[in-house]
Amino acid sequence: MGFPAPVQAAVVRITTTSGSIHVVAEPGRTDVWSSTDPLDDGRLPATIDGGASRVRVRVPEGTDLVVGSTSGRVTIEGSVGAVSAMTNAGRVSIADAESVDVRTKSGRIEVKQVSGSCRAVATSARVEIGHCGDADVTSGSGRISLDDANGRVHAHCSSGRIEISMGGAHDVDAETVSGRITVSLPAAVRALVVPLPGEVAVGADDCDCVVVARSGSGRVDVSNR
Amino acid sequence: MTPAPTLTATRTGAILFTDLVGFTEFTDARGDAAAVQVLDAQSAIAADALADVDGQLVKELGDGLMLWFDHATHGLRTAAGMLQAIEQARTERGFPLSLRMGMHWGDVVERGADFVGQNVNIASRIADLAGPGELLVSEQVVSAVDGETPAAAFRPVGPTRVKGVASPIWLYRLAT
Repeated sequence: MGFPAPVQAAVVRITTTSGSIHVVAEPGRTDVWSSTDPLDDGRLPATIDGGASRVRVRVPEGTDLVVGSTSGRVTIEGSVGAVSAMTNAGRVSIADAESVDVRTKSGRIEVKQVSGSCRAVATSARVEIGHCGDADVTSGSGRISLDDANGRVHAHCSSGRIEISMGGAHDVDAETVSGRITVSLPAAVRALVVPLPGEVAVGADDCDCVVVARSGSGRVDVSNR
Repeated sequence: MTPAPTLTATRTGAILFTDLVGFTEFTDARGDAAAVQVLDAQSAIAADALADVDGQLVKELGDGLMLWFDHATHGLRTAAGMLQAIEQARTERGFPLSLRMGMHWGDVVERGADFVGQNVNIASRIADLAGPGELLVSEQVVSAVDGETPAAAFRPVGPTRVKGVASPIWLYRLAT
């Protein structure tokens, strides 16, 4: 077990092999604390490497994070800055960030709130995004859901369902080879719905946004709430 | 008797792997003829992108390509050009698939017209982690282009580990 090791850091980098990573952004905190061993001078290394051990880190609110684990779970609580997270098989949960870039092969992705842009790439995993700005989400095989998108959305899935609930009038580009696509728009938003190439576009002449939704074999449903 | 492998030389440079996202599903849905058209279009785009740089197509790997560059900046320029050309083809001509790419910098061993070694494996692994329309590069690539490409062009993505390599490899996405 390590000792508290205060440092000032613009970006905190954390990695493990199989150990889980748990980061908490605390209001009023001004330094970074880690459960890992500090360097001989008492400071944390540039990269916190927990190996197979669980790593717990406390950071000031708004801290930028770059984290990754091969098979360990990544959990980020509190309000942080720009987050980049990558796992092979570990689940990734992020509570509140300014922007997110998260990738996993088979671990589930859960992002509750992003004030800015959200990019998520999963090979075979479910992706759930809550409130976000621009969103660029890809899953090879796994359901994609965006609960409250408030910016341009691009969602791509090779095999899986896509569910998008828009918070405003923003363009949507959703594509899945096999799977249903559901796009829910606010009541007052008039969308130009662009279907498969060769088909006739349906929508208002003076539309507020453009929705492109293509499914190779699934149903496409674009509607107002 | 099996001839001994020919290891001609060690070279340092950038290895770029590309992959067409969803190509297998596309072939299942649209058939072999459509798949060949896609591959031909990709080959043409790669040839155009390589025309003005010091780089070479090492080999085709199904729907993927392996390319080599003596200079990392030439590799980045080629990759960015290919991504842009594919996206343009998607928008203007209905090209059905997106490209993803991974690049790494390091020593490789020449084996005839091929390149082999751990760094080749790492580059391939990086490409697997990219999303549609993305180029991911290793920290070694970022160091190799030091000063020639604005640091802001690279956005951190996270660490990945490759079997046989003790330290994690930190990856970056080329912002477009």
